[in-house]
Amino acid sequence: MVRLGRPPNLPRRRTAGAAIDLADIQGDVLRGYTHPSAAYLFLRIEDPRRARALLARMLGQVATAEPWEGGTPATALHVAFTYAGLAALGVPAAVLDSFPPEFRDGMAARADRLGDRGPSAPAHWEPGLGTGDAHVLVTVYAVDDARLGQAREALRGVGAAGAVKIVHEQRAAARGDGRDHFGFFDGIAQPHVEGSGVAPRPGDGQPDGAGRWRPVRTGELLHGYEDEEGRLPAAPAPPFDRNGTFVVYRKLAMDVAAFRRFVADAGRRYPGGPDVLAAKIVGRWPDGTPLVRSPERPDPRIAADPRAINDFSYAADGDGLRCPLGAHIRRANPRDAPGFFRGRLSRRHRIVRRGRPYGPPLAPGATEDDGVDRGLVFVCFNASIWRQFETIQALWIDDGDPFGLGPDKDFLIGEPHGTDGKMTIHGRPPFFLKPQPRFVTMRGGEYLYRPGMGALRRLAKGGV
Amino acid sequence: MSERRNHVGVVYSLTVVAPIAPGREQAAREAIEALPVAAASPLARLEGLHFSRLHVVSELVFQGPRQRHRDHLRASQLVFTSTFDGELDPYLEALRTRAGPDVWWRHCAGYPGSADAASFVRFVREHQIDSSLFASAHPDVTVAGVKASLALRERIVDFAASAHGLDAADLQRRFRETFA
Repeated sequence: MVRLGRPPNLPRRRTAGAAIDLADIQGDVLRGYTHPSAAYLFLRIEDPRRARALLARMLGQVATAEPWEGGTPATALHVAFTYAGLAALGVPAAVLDSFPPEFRDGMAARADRLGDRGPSAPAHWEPGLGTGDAHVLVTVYAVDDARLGQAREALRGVGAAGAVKIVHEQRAAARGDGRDHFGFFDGIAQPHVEGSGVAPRPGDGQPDGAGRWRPVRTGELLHGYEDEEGRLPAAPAPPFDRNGTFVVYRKLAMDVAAFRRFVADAGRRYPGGPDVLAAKIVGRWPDGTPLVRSPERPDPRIAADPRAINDFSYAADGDGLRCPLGAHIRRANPRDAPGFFRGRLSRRHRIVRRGRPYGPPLAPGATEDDGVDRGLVFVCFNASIWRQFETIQALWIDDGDPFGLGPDKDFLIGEPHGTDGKMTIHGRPPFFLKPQPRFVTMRGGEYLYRPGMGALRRLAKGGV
Repeated sequence: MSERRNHVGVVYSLTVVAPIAPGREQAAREAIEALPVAAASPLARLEGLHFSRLHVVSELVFQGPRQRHRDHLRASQLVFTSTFDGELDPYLEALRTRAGPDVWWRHCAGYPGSADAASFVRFVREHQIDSSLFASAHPDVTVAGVKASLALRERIVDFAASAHGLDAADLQRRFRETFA
């Protein structure tokens, strides 16, 4: 019996009939996997003809979004391409030109607007990322490390030699308890995508303005379906106009010791103490209890209830006394916070997150760095990188204006900026954290396109 | 209209809508796109400027529900808006001499250039439309006033951050030292 990394308080979402073409969509777009092992392989295409042949042989292993018959497969594989990768495969210029500018630019060229500056700037990224060498991202999920190794070797075995070269490889390490390295339960809030056939938990969708939740329109995630404006979202030219999505990949190193030291130190001065302070920075307690629902202490009844853990609104917390206006989860997903017009100004900026921690945990209680690389592989899907991911990252994480917080950035994951950055813990009196220390450093990333299965087959045949 | 039209408090709102010369729309868009932003923007040289925006309108996309006729523009329009402290004439002189407005307006039909003050002002005024809906959160505060308030707020935040946990006597002493 394989033990999957699913925390008990977030049981599997039920499935119902789907209204979208599941067989043409790569699998993990509509639902996350709980395979405990995962690897991200960035490949450079050395020989387009051989690379297409390799792709053709891999097709059978690429999982679709159809429900799994007979339980969780031992391995599942997904394929995405950078702009350089599509060009290297011989996609004609007219089709390449139909992709949006931010995708053609690539993440490294957009670094300044994303806040990837200083130590997070592309000049310091890990080899193979942001240089134009990364053409293909193969994501491999497996039920254990042995199966992951086999799948990886199989990739080599099917004729990779001379076709592609691995330029960057990252292993993820799911922690079983669903927590990130800072110790917080993560990955709770996901948009409920209309027609996906995945039953939502309360809080998965968008606020409907009447105190309940509604699904996010399919076109916010997948090309070829109506979006929140009731229109088909701008999509690349055929065959990339249906059932595809854009992928954002970011390796974010987390300095756990620095976070612990900061919380302990500032927590001595903060009247509520270090535990409340850490929760105020994040917006949730370590067990996932949202501060809006329980600002004084974690509530195990809420954290343990999948129908409660994500069911909350900022509408009655306009002054941030329960959850600070600049708390990480409130910036990244402002829901119906005052100023966002009951969600009308947040609904076009939703993303599906499929991130995973990487690296081993820092020893419990340790407050000195052990020199081991650890953090989060941030992966998200969206129909428009510019409108969705980049808006969140540039305007909500790397700036504070939309929340009335001036130039203050996300205190947890924003790029520190000299002595200027601060976080306000609202209260009477308020408490200020200043300057913003460094907890997270960007180590490299790419913008990719994840085609539907039909388009993937066309790419393999060379018929695009 | 009163003579205070286009004003809210100390702020003047300028809206200029000028037709782009035939065949020049792409060049106009590229000129706007190429303008440096933030501190490097040529408009950042104008001290009393709150906000300014340049954009191209090439189609009247939304004309309300169920129109009998759809209106079409005969020419794409370059829209320039500014909100600034004080009066129009000194602002136009600063704009003309220090912000290099030829970069965007030279793509407009009939633009005389910025070398001659009188013809430049005539062009802007001919294409000016009233800012009929214009609100300001702080109508009586100039740009200098906003910057001074922000700087004071940062000083207070710095003070508060450094004074957490002090008893009343120490807090008072520290406050007097800091803000004396």
